[in-house]
Amino acid sequence: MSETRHSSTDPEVGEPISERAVLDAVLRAVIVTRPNGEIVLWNRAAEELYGWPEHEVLGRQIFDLLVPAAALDLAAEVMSQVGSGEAWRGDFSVLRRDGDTVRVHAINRPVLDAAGQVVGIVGFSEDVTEQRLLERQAADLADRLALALDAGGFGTWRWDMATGRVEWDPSLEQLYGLEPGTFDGTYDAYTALVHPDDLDKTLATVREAVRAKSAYVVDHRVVWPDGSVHWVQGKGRVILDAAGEVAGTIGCTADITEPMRVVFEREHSRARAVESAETERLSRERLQFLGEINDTLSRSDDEQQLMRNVTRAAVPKLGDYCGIYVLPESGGATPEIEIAHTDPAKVAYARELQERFPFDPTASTGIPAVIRSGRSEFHPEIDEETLREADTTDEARDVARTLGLRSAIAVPLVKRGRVLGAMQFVNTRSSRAYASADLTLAEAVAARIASALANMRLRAHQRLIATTLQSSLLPESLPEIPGLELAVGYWAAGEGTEVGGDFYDVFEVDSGWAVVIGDVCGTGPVAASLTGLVRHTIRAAAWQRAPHDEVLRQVNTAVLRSGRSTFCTALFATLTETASGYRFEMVSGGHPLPIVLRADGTTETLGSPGTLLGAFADPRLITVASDIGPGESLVMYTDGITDVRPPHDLSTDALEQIVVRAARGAGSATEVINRLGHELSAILPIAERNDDIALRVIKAPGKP
Amino acid sequence: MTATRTDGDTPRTWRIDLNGELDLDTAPALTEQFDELAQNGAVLVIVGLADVTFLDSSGLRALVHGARAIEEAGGRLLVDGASGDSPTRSSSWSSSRCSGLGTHRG
Repeated sequence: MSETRHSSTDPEVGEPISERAVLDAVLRAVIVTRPNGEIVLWNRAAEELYGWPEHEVLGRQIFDLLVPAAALDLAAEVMSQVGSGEAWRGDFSVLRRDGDTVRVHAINRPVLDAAGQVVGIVGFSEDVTEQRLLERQAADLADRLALALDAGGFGTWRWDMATGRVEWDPSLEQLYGLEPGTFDGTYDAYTALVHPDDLDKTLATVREAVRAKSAYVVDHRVVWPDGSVHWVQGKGRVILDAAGEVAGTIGCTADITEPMRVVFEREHSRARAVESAETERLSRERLQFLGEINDTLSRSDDEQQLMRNVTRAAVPKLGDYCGIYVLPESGGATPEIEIAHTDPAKVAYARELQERFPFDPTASTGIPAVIRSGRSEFHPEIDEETLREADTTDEARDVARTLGLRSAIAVPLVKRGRVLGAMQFVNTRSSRAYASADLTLAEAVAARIASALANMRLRAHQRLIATTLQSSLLPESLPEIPGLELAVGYWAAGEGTEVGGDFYDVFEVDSGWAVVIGDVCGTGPVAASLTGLVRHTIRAAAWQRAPHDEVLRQVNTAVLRSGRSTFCTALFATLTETASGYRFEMVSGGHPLPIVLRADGTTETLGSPGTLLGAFADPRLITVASDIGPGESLVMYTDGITDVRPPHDLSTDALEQIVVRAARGAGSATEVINRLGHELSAILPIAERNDDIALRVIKAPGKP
Repeated sequence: MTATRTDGDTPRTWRIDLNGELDLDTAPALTEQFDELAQNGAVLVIVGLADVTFLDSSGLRALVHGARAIEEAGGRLLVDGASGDSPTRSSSWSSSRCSGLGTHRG
């Protein structure tokens, strides 16, 4: 802006400066009119702004020249206001000579004479078209920004480091839970609202941005005065002063509580999915492991085998070391011990330890305590402190260190409330620590093992009873019968777990010798007890000289009255010495009939099949007799020989041929038995048969 | 094993012809059939054993059980073709054992 002086005749300047020249030097358009609007002065700037040269406008009406129709009223008002002596300023749209409209900012003032009368109006105007456009654009921009901030839920701030003042807009106050206008503008008031857990991180981010003179983004929580927690994201940048130094920060903040909730939820559900997949995998592994343990148990025939198998199956699946302690069935506090370790050298070391430190049933912790209490012990983490505090010996501590124990589980083997022993699983330093799920698995494993152990003992017990019974029912040795050779063959059915019902007996009676062979339907202790009944009934009846059929009739009654829904077959015979040999007198109660090999090489089936014993009230029993002379043999057998599932079954004819082959040229009754056994095995190995076989051979030596 | 049941000439008489192996696996079904006939007041049940290729103690037990049950119900159970009177039999499962059971002489 150039300066002008009102005094144009300053003597120091010399040449006078015309007022007109001054007016033309003014950058604003200057127009002077009479109060009626007649133009009397029009400077150069006016010529440039409106396009009219002065000489064309002087004397003309300013209304006609510049005022567009739409602004005539406003122009008249302005003229009247200024005509009355007041000034007016404002924006005005004006017509240029070329027809364009230009927006001007005008100041109109009255020109007064000495008496104070308005004699003219002077107007100063400048083109503000562009300025007004920029101003409108700026205002629009501000409006749009406000709209955008509002729509995005943004609040803005400005922090002046020099004064420490923090300016917040009402939106930001809202984001921090404050009523508009209540934020006191101090830095402390700001930090007090940031969640204490996020404050350090937030301030550190700002500090770093200030140091680096950079922009920053920080997510943090705010705690509203009502105590609720909200997430916000601040995006700021530093503001620099003229010297390029940081003067403060400026930025905007948005609420991100909802997006954060979504993020957290997603993270949470991802974590849950990972967790449940892991759980699923673990439970599958556990099921698989339990399956393996079951297989192992079913493959174990005795306790030692079971102990060895399960410890080997458990390592390394359930531990680097596994020990099983089984109390003896007979009682006593010192268990049988079996161990397995991933490192065979450690097994040797552990055995050596067992030698050095005998099992102490009274120890307050560990296996002895678990066995006494029937409760599990769980040491998820064994560290130096645990070892120091443990109620144990220094040696034991050294052992734990040497073995590198990390985590241990001890579980009792309990079946029906009885503690049969305990198991120990240990992970060493190279493996993971046990979790409670491992304890659960260990207990499940222990339950199965205890169950198998108890069943195994029960079965062994039953087998023992049955075997004891059976053997007590078979004569310990066969009596010598003058002039006759006796031999017996007895093969128990394949499995050997159950005792069969075949029996035989030989005893002295008044008339000579009684010979018995029989088969009780069924196996096991029940059959064995029935066998006892049958055997003793026969003996008692025979000793009382009951006729042959009467002996079996008494057996029939005894079995019927035993109340057991089973029955038996039996063959009762006597051998009475005669001048030429022995007289064989027999009766069969449903039992296979004996085969006799005559001296001439022919065979003969003796007797008549009678009724099963113990099945019906009135059995049909027929006694027959036959003489056995020198060189003749008699074979009595049970149906285990013939009644085999096809194709290994034998007809009576086929059996007779086998008997002929076995007896021909045999030196003794025992040899006949051996040969028969051999022949039968050739048909179907004894081990594969499901039924017992009892064979009795009576041979009268010599030549006929 | 198959069991073919046919009605007899007179009311409440049946004939059951067995074919195949009468053992632990097949005996229970036969036992059930005998119980059912006993409940129905069977007067006579003839069990045909000629085509039985194998008969173990379980099978025998089923037959004995049936004979007892039907007898208690006032009827009779007879077996046919088991007593060794058929020399053409290929198998000699202890037909002798069945001799305690009433034998049907057709």
